[in-house]
Amino acid sequence: MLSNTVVLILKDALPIFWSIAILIVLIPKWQHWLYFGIVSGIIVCLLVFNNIGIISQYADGLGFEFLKILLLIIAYLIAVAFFVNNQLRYSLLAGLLAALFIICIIILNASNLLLFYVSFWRLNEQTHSLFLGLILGIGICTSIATLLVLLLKPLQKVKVARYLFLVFVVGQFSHIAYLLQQTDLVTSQQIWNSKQFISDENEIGQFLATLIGYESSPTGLYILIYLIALITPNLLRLFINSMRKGKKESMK
Amino acid sequence: MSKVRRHELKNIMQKFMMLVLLTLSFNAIAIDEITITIRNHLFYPPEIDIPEHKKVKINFINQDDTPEEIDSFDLNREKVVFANSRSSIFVGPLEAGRYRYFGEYHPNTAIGFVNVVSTEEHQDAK
Repeated sequence: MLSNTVVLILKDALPIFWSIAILIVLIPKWQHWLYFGIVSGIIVCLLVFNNIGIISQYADGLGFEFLKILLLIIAYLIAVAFFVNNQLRYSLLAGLLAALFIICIIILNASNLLLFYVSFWRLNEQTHSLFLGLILGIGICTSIATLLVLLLKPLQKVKVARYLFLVFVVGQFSHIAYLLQQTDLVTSQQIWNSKQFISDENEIGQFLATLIGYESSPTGLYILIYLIALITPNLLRLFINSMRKGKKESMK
Repeated sequence: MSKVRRHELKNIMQKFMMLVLLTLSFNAIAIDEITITIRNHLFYPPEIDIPEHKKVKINFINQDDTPEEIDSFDLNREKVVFANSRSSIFVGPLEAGRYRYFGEYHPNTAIGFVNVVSTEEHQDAK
């Protein structure tokens, strides 16, 4: 039970800690939004959790999947805004967007974990292991997030943080493909299988899945969404930069 | 970038996009259904056979007092089945092979397999 709890926390909590760490590097005045984002995220997550039965019943039992898709779209749009607009991170809006992003990512990742904890706690099943697992899992996630902040923040590696943020969100966003497939809205076949090289069941695979959206057997739709979601902001950024350059030159 | 190289790159990109788009389809064909029961953190039946290159709906009925999260790295599926309730997922079309899934909250006991067999084998088994 202990190892299972730790694995579950790492899988569900690492994306939250990782994204918070990147946003701390990305936004100079991070204290303002961080606490607001985390507290609001936990409150909204508890609200969602309390109504998870009702939400799930919507749209022929696909309500929770649709909610996840909506949250992934919002999270992606926020990441694109930070990636495309260099100046956004200095504005007041940055804090608000970061807080909204944290709320989305907490609901997306923590609701299943909450379900696991509440169910087993209610039954008084191995509460000692659950508590120990929570401490260990949170400890590992905090260490990884702190390491990332300590590596990037003092060096002002904003460009690295911006790309890390985009790749992380694209990885999360591409899971829309599987949500659409498992709800029978779209059919798509596996393109390749790289399980023999890096399996998503082992630690490296799980870590890569969280950080860059690695999948050992992705479907065509997954690859399509991943590539479009990754390329579009880069093209948009190039276009905006060239427009700005053109404007500056015409001003001269 | 030379004109020839750009043309080659364009060709590769076109072929790749064709391959990706070929794997996509939006369909509403009649779909086979299979029911799996979760009881005492075990799947019944623990193994199911489905035909290759066909989409199948799997209904999970959870008879336990705890929820279970169905997870499969092989099938790329993840779905929570609440306590004493039911939930469904669609799998396929898949190549022939053995695909593992498990209950994320009880990974040591709740283990199941989806065996994807050729259409002939599937008909014989029926």
